[in-house]
Amino acid sequence: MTAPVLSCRGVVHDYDGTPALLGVDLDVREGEVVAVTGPSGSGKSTLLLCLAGILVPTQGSVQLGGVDLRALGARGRATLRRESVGMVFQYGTLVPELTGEENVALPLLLSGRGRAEALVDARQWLGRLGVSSVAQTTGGRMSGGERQRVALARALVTGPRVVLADEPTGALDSVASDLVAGELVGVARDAGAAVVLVTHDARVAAHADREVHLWDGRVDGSQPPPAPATPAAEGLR
Amino acid sequence: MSTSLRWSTALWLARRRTPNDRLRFWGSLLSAAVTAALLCTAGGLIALYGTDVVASIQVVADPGTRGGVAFAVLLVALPSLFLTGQTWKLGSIERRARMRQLRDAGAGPGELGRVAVADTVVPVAVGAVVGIVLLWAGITVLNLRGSYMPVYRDLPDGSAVPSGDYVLVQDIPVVPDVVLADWWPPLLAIAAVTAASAAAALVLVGRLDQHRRHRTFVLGPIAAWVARHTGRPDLLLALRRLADEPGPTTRPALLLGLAATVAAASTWLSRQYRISMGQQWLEDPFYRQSFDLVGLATWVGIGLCAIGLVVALADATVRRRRADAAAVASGVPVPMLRHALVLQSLLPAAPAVLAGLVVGGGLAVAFTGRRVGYRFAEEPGAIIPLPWATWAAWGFALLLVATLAAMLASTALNRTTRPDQLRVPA
Amino acid sequence: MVRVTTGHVLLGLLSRGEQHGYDLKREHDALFPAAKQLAFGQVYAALGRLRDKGLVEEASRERVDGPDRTSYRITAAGREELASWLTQVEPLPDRTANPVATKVTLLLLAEGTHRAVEHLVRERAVRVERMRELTAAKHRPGTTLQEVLSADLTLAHLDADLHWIDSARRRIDDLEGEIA
Repeated sequence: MTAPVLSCRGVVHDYDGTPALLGVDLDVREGEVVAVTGPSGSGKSTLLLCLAGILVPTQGSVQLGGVDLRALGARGRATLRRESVGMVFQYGTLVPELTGEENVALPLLLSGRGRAEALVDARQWLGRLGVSSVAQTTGGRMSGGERQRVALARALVTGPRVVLADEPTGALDSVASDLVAGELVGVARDAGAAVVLVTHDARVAAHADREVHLWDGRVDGSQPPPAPATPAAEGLR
Repeated sequence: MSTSLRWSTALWLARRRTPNDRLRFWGSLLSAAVTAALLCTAGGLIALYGTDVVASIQVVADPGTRGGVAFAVLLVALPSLFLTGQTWKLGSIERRARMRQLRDAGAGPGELGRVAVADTVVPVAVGAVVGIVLLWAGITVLNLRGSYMPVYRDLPDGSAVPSGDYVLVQDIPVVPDVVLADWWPPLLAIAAVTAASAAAALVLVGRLDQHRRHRTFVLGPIAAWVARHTGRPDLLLALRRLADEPGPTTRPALLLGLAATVAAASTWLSRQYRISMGQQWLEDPFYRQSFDLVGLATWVGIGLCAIGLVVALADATVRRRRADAAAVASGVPVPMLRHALVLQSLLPAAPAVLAGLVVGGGLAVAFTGRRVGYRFAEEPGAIIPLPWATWAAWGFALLLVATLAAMLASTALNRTTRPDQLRVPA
Repeated sequence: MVRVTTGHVLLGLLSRGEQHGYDLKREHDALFPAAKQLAFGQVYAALGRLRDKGLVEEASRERVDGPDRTSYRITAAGREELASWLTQVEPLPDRTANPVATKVTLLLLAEGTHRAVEHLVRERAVRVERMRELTAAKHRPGTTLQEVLSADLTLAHLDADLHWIDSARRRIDDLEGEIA
């Protein structure tokens, strides 16, 4: 069995004393699509930010492609993220002033590629996602569905090993949600990238290979065994 | 605009609640103080038209040039107004949201107008009064000691020339009292500033539902064209932002260009007059004081412009926080965003400053000619070398101001690109 | 009164033109693959009832060697009945059976909050698995619109179940907090 492309062990994180994650283990294999679900407040977005290296968890370790993120500095993690991870957010993933193709080309330009070269790759990806029509449109003028598809193209243009998506369909209606979720999973699979998809929508999660359900900062099924025989139902009688 | 909403209630609804509100309050107060003081000064000088003014600053005392000074003061009021306008825009997103909430709760245009006016007019009116009081206090303190007047030496032919000595005369003020010159300058200044702010507040209420207007500047399409040919991410971002919303950095760029014009002209003229007048320059303080005043006004204008630029850029950065936070989260380095902001400030400023230097210097040189004594001697003298070094220094200084203002504004990036900014509502 | 009966479905199919009983059965099974497949006996029995009520009539009767080749045609009365049935909305049932809720309540009483939550997690897992199957099936090439519509409806119901499971769990957690 090959090593997982992304894994975390015992991740605990709190925001100024308020606990968000209480010990999460996760392994994502090459090319696998994992949905992380749970109600709001369950810690799923926090987990995603820890997996991306944007947050350093208070405890526990995160490994991307075998590299321990804690060992890298902020700049190292940012570079790693730019080159090996594609990110899609619920809002604001795109720079509204840049055109569709410029948005997709941005990570390549940041790594020093020339404009003409970068745009060729960008246009290819826009075509694969069916949004070539907005190549010259600025981000601020696109519709929600177009924006998320362009964001997905940007996430995939660097050929990342894993795509992390935080509620990518959160701002879309149910029909667009279904379409974008399906495309996200399909295109990422074709590109050979693993996907970690955070969503509160079970129908979006149903597009994944498996689901990890968070409840109150822990993965379901990983809770500590219950205390012996609680005389629980007193309150109900 | 009739309404039954009481002013006391309107004032309570307009109370400062967030740090941005407080910033807007103090910013409006201070800039209103400066604007009112400038307007009152200009008004006072105009009120003194036709009267004999005794003051040691000749340029003000001389009725011929007093009008010019008043005009220069009004010119400096331009960047001051620009700064006032910028401070009003602070926290405008929250303010509009609050207005919409009031409207949902049942407020009509009359009520909203009253709240908006209460919000804007209070700091402005207070600031205007404070500004004029401080102006009067400053003038009084300045005049306390009296002025140094030149002592004249009688010549055999009956005329008198400055002897080079000065004597302190108690009764002669340094500057005339422009605040108490007549009843109307201070009142007009306060009224004008207050009325302008009330009008702006009502315009804000009228535009509550409008999305951002897309005004087309000339700069916009040019920037868009250049953007299509560049691959440097920071340059690309700066150009696209300029094409999308040229306003925030174009207006201050124009003001910096104006400052460059004035500075370039003044540099040449002071050199021309100094060399041509020779001894008279040292003895008769009129011209020297004129140029000193112009220099002072230019630096005040530049300072106000710089503050306005910082405010405009910082506000724009805060408004972009979600997209910037997402970019940083995706691995875009923060220094790149900082460079983009500096470029956004420099790209319109550089051509404006350059044009200003050329126009100002060119017009001034054309006006007086390059020869010594052009206006004062019958025979033309030697050619005066052009002050290239000084002009270049001015250009560099103005661009440095634009750069430093942008870098100061970019400190907001540290706050706006944190991961928790990913979830803020629009 | 307004339930979906075989008779109504046949009326609907006949409204497009006369057909033989054999073809009606084949068309029904092709259009509604998720529903139970019709037996020939059912079809002929239903057609008989419709004819007795005057809603369909026999168009022609051939008897070549072998099975009955009668073709049927909808009547004006049949069209009226069909139109009125198609536009009526089914009344909602007064009571619905909620077996999961019953089970969870009993678990709470008998074995405590942890067992109840464990069961909710199991119910959840089963539904999530079914949702995955349905979603994968929807995206297979050759899926018809009717199959997608049917899958969407099932997915919506399962999604609603999951919402209930989450809120039930939250209520139990709060209850546990109160007890503790």
